[in-house]
Amino acid sequence: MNLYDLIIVGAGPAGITASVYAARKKMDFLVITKDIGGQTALSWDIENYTGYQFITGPELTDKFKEHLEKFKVDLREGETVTLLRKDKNLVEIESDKEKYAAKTVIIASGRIPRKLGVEGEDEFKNRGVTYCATCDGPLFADMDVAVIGGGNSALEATLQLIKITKKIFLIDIAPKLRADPIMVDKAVNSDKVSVHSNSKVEKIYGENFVQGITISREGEIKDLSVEGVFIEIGSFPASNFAKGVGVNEYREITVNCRCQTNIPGIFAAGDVTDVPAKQIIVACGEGAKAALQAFEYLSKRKL
Amino acid sequence: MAKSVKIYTTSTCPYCARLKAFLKEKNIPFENLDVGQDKNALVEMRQKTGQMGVPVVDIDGKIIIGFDKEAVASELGV
Repeated sequence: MNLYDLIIVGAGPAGITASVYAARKKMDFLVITKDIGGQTALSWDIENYTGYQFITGPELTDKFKEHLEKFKVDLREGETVTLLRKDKNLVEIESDKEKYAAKTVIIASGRIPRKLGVEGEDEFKNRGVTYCATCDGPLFADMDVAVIGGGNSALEATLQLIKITKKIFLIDIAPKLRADPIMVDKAVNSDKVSVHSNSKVEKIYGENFVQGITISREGEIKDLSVEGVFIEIGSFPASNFAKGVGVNEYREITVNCRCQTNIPGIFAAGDVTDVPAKQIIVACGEGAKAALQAFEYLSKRKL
Repeated sequence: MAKSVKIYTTSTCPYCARLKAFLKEKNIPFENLDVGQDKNALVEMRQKTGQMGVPVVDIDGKIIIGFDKEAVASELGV
């Protein structure tokens, strides 16, 4: 088993920025990640990343990747970390493919979409059920679809789909949509969008592909015929594999202003942490801080 | 003889872009079907794979769902 100075888990904005900093410090490090770009790769229009007045998520991801590839980085893509724990002085990491050990670790594993937890959701995944409007929206050209949720991600999905699909049922469990008013106005003013508040999805049905959803409102049950179901009910931090690492009530990893967790040598950065603003630019900044802190930690100790 | 490579993609999916970049990097000619624009291609993809996730790669009838770099590389021998 190889021993590294640093292992970075994740290659979204935080993990990639940490990698760039670690490479420039000539650290002996490895990146293990499921994908490149994380949630950024799935974002649509980005208008608040300094230096780019407008860029799409996939384009910004390409820029990040280009920057990373300027350095010779040992990048293990398509690999999921299943266990991370500190044993004496070293951090042990297990993935679905290999085992590793490192003197320091940066957890930058981000967040994953929350599931609805209803009948048919797993069965029809990629058969009409999707968690990414940006990726899968074009598959539903001129069809009727449902968007589940009432926050910013649900409204962002709805606004993207207005341009593509025939009709959109927006199904929200709460009495009132909670997204930014500018998005809500655009959605409710569109003839294509029909908002169902106080409504709960009971099941997703179909044969080979989705044919509809059953919703309930104050005991009243109704079937809506749709071919696509976009589940946009938020996300949760991908922190479960990190054993012994302190988290808050939302399972976000608790860090101080130096990106340190409760365990010496284990740092965390980006959306997986309790840092308040879940923004690409904030995640990048946190990734930079975490790499510099890991470097300093190693230089102060003989490990 | 070179294998025939057909890919089913949409213009917005990040993995589709990465798949195309990978094939270009390896100098593999391919036919791209945009299932967001081409209804027939969408129907064909649904029939072939029984699902709607993109990208889908068809290498001489061998179907690979998703951007599985290793599977594509081994099928093409690159």
